[in-house]
Amino acid sequence: MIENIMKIWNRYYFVFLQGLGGTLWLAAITVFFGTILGTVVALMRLSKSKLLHGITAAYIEILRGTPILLQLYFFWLLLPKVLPVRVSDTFCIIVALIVNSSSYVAEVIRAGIQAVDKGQTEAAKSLGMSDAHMMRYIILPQAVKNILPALGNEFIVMVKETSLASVFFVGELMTSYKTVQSTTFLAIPSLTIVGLIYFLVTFTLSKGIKFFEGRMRVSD
Amino acid sequence: MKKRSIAILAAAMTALCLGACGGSTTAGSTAAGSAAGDTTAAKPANRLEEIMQRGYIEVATEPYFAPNEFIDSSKQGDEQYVGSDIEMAKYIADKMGVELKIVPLEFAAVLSSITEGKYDMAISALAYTPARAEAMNLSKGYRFDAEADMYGVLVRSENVDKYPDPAALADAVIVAQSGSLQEMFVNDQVPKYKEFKRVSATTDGFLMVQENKADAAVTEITTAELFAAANPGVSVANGLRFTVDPETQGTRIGIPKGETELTDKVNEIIDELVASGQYDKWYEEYSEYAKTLGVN
Repeated sequence: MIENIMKIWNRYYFVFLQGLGGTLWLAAITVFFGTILGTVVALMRLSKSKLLHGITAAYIEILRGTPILLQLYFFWLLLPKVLPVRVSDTFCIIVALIVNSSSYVAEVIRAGIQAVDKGQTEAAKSLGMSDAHMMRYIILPQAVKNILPALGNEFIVMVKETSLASVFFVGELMTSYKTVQSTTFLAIPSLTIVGLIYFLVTFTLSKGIKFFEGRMRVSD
Repeated sequence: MKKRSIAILAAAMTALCLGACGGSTTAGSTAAGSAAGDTTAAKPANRLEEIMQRGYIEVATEPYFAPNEFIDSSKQGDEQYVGSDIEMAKYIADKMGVELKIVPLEFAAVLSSITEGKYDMAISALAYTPARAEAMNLSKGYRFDAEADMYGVLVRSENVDKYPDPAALADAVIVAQSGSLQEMFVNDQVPKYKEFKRVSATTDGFLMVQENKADAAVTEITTAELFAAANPGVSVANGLRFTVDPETQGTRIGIPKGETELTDKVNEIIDELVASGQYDKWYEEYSEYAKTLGVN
C-alpha cells in the first residue's frame, strides 16, 4: 500500500500538483468574485426597498436550498444557450461556483453588518451623515472585522466544493485523482494522496485564519 | 483608494477571462473566428454543415476507460487523450477535413451533452441500449467481438468459479455503471440478485468489489483484465458471459437526435474502418500502451 503510494507519487506527482494549483485557483477566483457579488446582494438585502429585499431573499434561498452539483449541471447546460458568445465549460463552471458562493457570502456579510452595534448608526445619524456615508465610513470598516475570518472559511469550503467540478473535468485535484487512478488502476493509493493534499491545504489555511483572527482582536 | 480597487477588479476580471479561455485556448480563438463568420455566411441547415462551417468538431468522452480512452499525463493539451476511440475520432475529423477537439467529461455528462446537443458526438465506448437509441442517434457498431464474450463480471479471486452463469448471481451484490449497457444486462439477464448498485464510473465498481462492498462488477472484459493485472485479489469470473443481441451488438458513436446527415457521414467512415480492421488494430495497440502507464 505505502509502496504503491510512493510509486504513484514518484511517477505522477506533477499531475497532483497541477490539480492542486487548479483547485486553489478555482477557489480563489470563486471567493473573490463571490465576495463582490455577495456584497451587492447583501446591500440589496438590507435596503429599504421591499422589491430588492424580496428578490435577493429568493436568490439566496434558492441557491442555498439546492445542491451545488445540480447548479453546476444547470449552468453548464443553460449558460451557453442564453449567452450570445461561445463560452468554455470552465467558464460556465466558474460562473456557477461564483453565483453559489455569492449566496453564502451575502449572508456572511449581512450578518457582519448587522452585528455592528446600533449605537454606531445612531451616532452617525446624529452627526447628520447620509446613509451612504454612514455605510462606507462607519459601518463597513467595523463589519469587515467580523466578515474577514468568515470569508477565509468560505475559501476553505470552496477548496473542497470545487471537487464537484471534476464531473466537468475542470482540472482540479479530484480530476487528478480520476486521471491517475484510471491509468494505474490503483484507486486507494491515489485517493490517499489526494486526501492528504486536501487536508494539508485546508488545515494550514484554517490555522492561518485562526492566527489572523487573533491579530484582529488585538485592535479591539 | 477607490481607483486602486477598480484597477484590481479590472486585473482580476482579465485574469478570469484569460483563465477561462486558458482551459481551452483554441476554443476561445476559433469561437471569435466563427462568430465573425456567422454574420456573413448563411445559417447552416444541419449540424454537419455547421461543423464544416466552423472548421472543428467537438467530441465528448470520459477519458477514464482504458484502452478506449484514457490520459497519458506525460503529455499536454489534447495530446494527452489517447486510446483507440481517440484514434477513431482523429480519423473521423481527418476524413471530414476539420479539426478535432476532445471534451473530457464524466460518463453521465457525456450522455447528457449529446441529448442536449451541446457537443457534436460522443465517442466513449458507447454500447447500444434502447434508452440511448431513444434519446440520441447511434451510429453503426465499430467494434465487435468475434467470440461474443466481451462482457462478464469482475469478482474477488476466491469467487472466480462461484458464478458460472447469470443465475448464480442470486445472492450476490452486483454493481454496474449507471446508464450503461452493463446496467441493461443486469436488468435483462440476471434473474435474481441480492442487491444492485449503480455507480458513475466502471472503475468505482471494481473498487467496490475489491473492498468487499459488492461481489460482482459487470464490465467489458478487456478493461477488467487491465484492472486485475494491477490489483491482486480480483479476477474476471470464469464462465459467466453476458450475451449481446446480434442486432444491437457493437460499440457505437452517439450523435444528437435527428442529425441524419452527420450520422450518415459517420456511418460511412465507420464502414471503412470496420472493413479494413483498423479499429481492432488500434484497440490492441492501446491495450499495450495502457499497461505502460501503470506503476507496477
